[in-house]
Amino acid sequence: MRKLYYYAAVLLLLMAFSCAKDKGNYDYGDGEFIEISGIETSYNAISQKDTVKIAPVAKSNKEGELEYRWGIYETNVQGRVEPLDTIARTQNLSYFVKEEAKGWVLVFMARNKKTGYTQYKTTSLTVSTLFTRGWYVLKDDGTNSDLDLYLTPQNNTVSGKMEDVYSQVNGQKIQGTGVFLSFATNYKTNILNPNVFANTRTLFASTSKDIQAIGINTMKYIRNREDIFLGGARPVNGAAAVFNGSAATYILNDNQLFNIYAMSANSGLFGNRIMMDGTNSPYALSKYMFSSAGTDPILFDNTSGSFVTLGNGSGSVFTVYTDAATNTLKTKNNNHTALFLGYKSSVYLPAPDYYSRYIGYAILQDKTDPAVKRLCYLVKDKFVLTVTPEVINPSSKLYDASHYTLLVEDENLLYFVNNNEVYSRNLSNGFEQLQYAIPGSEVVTFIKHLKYTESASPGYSFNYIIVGTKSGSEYKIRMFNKVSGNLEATPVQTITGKGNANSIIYIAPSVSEYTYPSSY
Amino acid sequence: MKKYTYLYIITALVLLVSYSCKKDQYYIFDDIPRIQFGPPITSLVNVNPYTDSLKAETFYYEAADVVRDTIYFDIFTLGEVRKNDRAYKLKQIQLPGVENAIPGKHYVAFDDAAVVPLYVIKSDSVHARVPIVVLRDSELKSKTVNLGFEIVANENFDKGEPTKVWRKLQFTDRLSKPNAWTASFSQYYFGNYSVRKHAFMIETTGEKWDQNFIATIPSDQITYYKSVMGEALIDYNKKHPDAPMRDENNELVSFPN
Repeated sequence: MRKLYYYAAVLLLLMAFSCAKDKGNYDYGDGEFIEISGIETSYNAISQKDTVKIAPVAKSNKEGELEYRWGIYETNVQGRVEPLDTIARTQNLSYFVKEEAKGWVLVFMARNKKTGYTQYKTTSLTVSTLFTRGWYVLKDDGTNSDLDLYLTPQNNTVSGKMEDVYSQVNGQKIQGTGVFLSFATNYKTNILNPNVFANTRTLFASTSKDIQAIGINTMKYIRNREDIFLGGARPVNGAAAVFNGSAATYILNDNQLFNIYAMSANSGLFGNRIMMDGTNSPYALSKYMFSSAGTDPILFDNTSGSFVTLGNGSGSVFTVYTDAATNTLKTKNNNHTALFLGYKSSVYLPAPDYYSRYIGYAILQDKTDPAVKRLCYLVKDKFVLTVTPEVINPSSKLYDASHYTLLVEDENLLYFVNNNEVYSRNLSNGFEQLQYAIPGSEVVTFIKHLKYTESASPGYSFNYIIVGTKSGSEYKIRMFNKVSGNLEATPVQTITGKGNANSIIYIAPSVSEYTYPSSY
Repeated sequence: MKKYTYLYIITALVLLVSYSCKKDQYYIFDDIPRIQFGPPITSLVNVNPYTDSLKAETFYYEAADVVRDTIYFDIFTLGEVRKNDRAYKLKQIQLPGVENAIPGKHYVAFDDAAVVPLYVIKSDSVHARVPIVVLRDSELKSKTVNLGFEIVANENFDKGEPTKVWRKLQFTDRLSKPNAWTASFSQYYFGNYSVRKHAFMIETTGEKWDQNFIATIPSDQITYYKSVMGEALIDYNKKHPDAPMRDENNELVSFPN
């Protein structure tokens, strides 16, 4: 038993030495806490237009007068560190927003002057501009082009208009007559930081003489034909268009193709002209394209009569699509020219494939016998193209059609214009139906199916057949809902303006290159 | 005595534990000071051991009145730094099967009084850039010469690792392959190097395609120029159907697609 005393004595001795006198200066009173209320979790504002007003309440559990400060900092910054900018030293904030359109964070600070204790509370501020939501119309006066913006502040219904918005901001119009509008969020520019090429939400307005890359936040021109190509300025001729593919952004100019490979670092400048083949054979692409951000494009060379693409968006030479075994009309040298080519839909193939097939249509005209026109059903399976032609009956309305648009990911219909009347053609059975007769002296300038879904704000979603017409010096654009593929009797809304309207696109903060396929 | 046994055991254990601790021994460099070549000091991490072991330079881009140039290698010491400057010594080695540079004619000899003071490791330093002064002899317009050199042990340094005590330099007054025209540059962009191809690239693009240009060109511009050159070569060969472009080795010039 005595042994245990020894052990205990040794252990107690060790424990005694392990103790140290506590010289702490603890304060067992309640810690200070400043309760802040009256600040929402997020705010939205339009730059250069809105004033954000916030009236927070701050209360400390300690004595002392509070002083306040508001700061703002930028989010999603690449290549730099942004400081917190002080924007107010008052309790209530009344701040005229002039920041760039993007995400910001507002910081409210309440400091007890007596104790020095400061409590922070943050909230997000999403800044948009007058230009980041609405219907954009590319129009011209026969010589130069401009943009009209139809505002949609509450839902997709137009409420307000900014006429000639491009020239209002940039001080001049775009040379040439309007051709095509497109949009991308992954286009690289250094407008925010000269040393960093970052994704920039960009509207591309293509005309017969120019290609404009326009920052959607500010409507300011970023680049044009003078500086959008590597190697210097290039003339723009014919039906120019910028469009998106799965790994690249493309320009169709003068029936030639140029690209930016988007999967590696780039400066937003388009590269050299893509060659037809290893001997640099001449080619002339149709202005019509079948493309989307999910796949390589299908293009048609009218010179050789071939369906071509730029495989994976890279390289300097076209790839001619490989014929499917069933093809009676070949993908290469088929002796046709394209009257139309468009994207229809995609079909995802589950295991073991895990990729999508893409479906579209082309209308081809026989070079030897131009009276023969064929409606071709296209199925793109990677680099194999199935072409299923059907001779168009000369008595059908489609035979002499002019403008075309496919109902993308919708009813199996092709809309077209014949003799200034809008028809549909059932692509399953060939049934044609008059959908809308253009009234009076109006002449159709374009038709387009546009479909957009905004899950957070369903009021902005739409699925329209859009018909643009011209009468005298004014354009009229009618947006129709459809029922089972047929137009309702009257348009949902009609917008009118000066000039000749050629293209329309709806832009919203959630619109990206994936929203609309690249097609007429 | 027995009643203290456990206390003794505990005390002994505590003493043993105490003695089991030992101050960590530092590994002190106890060799003689050595010196060897290495990569540029800006890229010491994860580099190929032969990085910069061979350099190529040309007077081709220089103005006519430029008669000498300096090419730098990097050298490093092993051992403690010293408070005094320490000279190191180099000598030329004859390379088999090639045209060797001649001292005084193609380069300033390593024992020339004008350059000997340059071959020194400064006090408190473990690194120096090794200047090789090359001379623009007229015969370099028609030939490329090779300068091999190695470290010679002296009173300050013995030689370092055997694989790192030598360097080679090729120089000429003709167009020559820049160091940045690497194997991957050949594989992914412009194919195998030839002087004819190099000259054609300069003629077509108006760019120098020298070391600095190739080393700093952004990737999208390389892709652009690759396409430009491919197209230009096709056009050239179409204009010369009986004499497609061949290089100095009589090989057809080509650019990858």
